[in-house]
Amino acid sequence: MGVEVQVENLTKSFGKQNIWRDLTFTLPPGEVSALLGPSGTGKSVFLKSMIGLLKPESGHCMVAGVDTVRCSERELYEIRKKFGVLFQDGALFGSMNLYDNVAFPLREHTRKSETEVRRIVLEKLEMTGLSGAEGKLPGEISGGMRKRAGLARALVLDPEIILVDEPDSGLDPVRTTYISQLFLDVNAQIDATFLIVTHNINLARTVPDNIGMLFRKELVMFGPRELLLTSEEPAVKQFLNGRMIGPIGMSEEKDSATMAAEQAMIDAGHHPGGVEDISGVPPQMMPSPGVPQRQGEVRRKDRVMQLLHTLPEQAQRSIIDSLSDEERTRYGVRERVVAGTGARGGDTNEFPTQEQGTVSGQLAENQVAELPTSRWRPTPGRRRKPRPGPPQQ
Amino acid sequence: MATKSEARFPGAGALRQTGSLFALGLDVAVLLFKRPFQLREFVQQCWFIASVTILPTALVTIPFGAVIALQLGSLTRQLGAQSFTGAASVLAIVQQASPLVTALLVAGAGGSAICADIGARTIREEIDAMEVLGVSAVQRLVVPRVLASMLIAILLNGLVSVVGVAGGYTFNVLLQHGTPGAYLASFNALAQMPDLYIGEFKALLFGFIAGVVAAYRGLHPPPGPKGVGDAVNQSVVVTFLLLFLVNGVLTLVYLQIVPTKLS
Ligand SMILES: Nc1ncnc2c1ncn2[C@@H]1O[C@H](COP(=O)(O)OP(=O)(O)OP(=O)(O)O)[C@@H](O)[C@H]1O
Ligand SMILES: [Mg+2]
Repeated sequence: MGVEVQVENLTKSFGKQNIWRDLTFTLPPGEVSALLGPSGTGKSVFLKSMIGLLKPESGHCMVAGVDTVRCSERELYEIRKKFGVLFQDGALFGSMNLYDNVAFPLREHTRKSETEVRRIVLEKLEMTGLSGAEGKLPGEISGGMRKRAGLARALVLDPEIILVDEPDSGLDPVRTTYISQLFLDVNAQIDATFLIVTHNINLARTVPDNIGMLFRKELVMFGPRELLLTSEEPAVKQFLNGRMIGPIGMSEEKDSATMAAEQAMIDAGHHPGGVEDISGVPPQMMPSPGVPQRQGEVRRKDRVMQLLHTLPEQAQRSIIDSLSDEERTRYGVRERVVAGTGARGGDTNEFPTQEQGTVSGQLAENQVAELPTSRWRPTPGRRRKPRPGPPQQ
Repeated sequence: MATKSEARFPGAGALRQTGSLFALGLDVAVLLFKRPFQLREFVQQCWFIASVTILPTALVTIPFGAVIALQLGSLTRQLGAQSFTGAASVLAIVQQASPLVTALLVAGAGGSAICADIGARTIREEIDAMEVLGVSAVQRLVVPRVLASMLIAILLNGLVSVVGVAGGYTFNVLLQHGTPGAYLASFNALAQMPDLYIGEFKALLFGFIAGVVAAYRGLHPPPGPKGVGDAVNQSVVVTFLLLFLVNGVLTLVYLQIVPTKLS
């Protein structure tokens, strides 16, 4: 199973420039999480801090019992063997061809024979669609190919945590979907924990189990995909729709004068950008047929149902909507829904865990900030008892 | 855990840089003995450094030996100590000139190439990627380069001594009409074996310094491609300054410890 990553109160500055502060959240083991955020909010810096390349001033990042922020160099080298990292520009070794690049981790860390190395390398190159290019130098291939070769290298040791910095940049939409499919298949096969940094809304809406967003030096929210996709938070909504109207501006801070000016422009008929109104929770992509079911997805369902009552209303509704009939029985939802209105997604009182309407459509600011801290613990069979048989989908 | 705050006072930056440079030097020294040794990289680097330094070194050394010979020649003639020309020029070349010429070329030609190479890798995030793959970039890239520059410095030092002395001989005999026999006979009148040892030791140390400084600047370049250019420039200048300083200290110590032959 993949490893859990617990980030606590992480704060990073370069000199006087604060990049982000007090990040606290947990990457659940074996699940696919995505981190969104406007350019320059420090997503790449965050990934580098997780693997100990940059040292945040305060906070912890616990990976398999090791704090990568404070541990010794030796521990760091050990823990890094669990990681597979795809850098924003691929970061291939310029003096080696693609084959040697992908073989590098195998030759460094395993005692595999050269024939076995060859088999694995060619397999990974084929997975990433690079068969036939293994003799090329990184300087001789396109940006998208470099990215895919970087991914092949990151996957070659079957890592437990895979960090991906913008898989979509430099890739066309079709290849981006193929890469997303690849992530899910790999996740199903080796049950690795994924963290994908991306600007790609399609990818963010259809691939991850959990989504977080960085904005104005803070983690705006982190939680199950339904939480962010149904959120009414202005920054989140604006980001998902790619509009100019909203708190995110071209530069870091957008002042109210700019916002007013833009609103006036829109009122005068100027197009705010964005293609269509994006809202709601589209179905998540599934692993390819023939690939085993994602264990992370199974665990996630249990986990999400446990914290259902802490989520805002729309998120709850969309989670309930996404349950299959068996799952409704397993989690004891069906009766209530049937008893309530007889229809899916009716009003609030159908939800078993919701009490005295404390959760309204939009969370108050402080509650949003608190959400990420409500940490999941692998729990007991309490939820699983009512399960009629082995879980099916 | 307490927040680590950086001390701020004038010169703190310089101190920090010096500290990191020494830390890298120590790391290199420790990792020299760590297996697996990167033999391939080492051999490639030796070949590379040798190929960029041999020719310029020889070309620089011939006039160097000549100048020393010419200066000494006219001086000794005025003093009537012509028979010592050979002795003095050997001493000057073996003990002082050749380690410095070697070091300048290893730093100027080899070091700048090392710095540019590592710097380019740093800004392309190759070094980060290597660290993340659990491989120490210092062990993998820096150690073989530093070792190579040390080895090549020692070998070049030998070359420079030979070429320098030969150049001195040629000029002394052909241009200043010195007696060949006297020049050769006086070789070991002043010079002694420890002069050669200290020369080689200096070359070794200079090779180490040139390699470490180049690697250090390469690993920490100012941001951007222009940063790498600046880093190369700085690494050469810093190395030169360090070399002259170290050379001064070593010479003083040597002269104190090893008695000169004449007295
Ligand atoms: N080594 C560094 N030294 C100083 N500042 C840095 C360094 N690395 C990053 N920064 C600063 O940190 C901020 C965040 O950079 P980062 O690369 O993490 O952005 P990002 O969120 O990944 O953006 P993008 O989506 O465009 O990749 C930037 O303002 C950048 O100037
Ligand atoms: Mg980035």
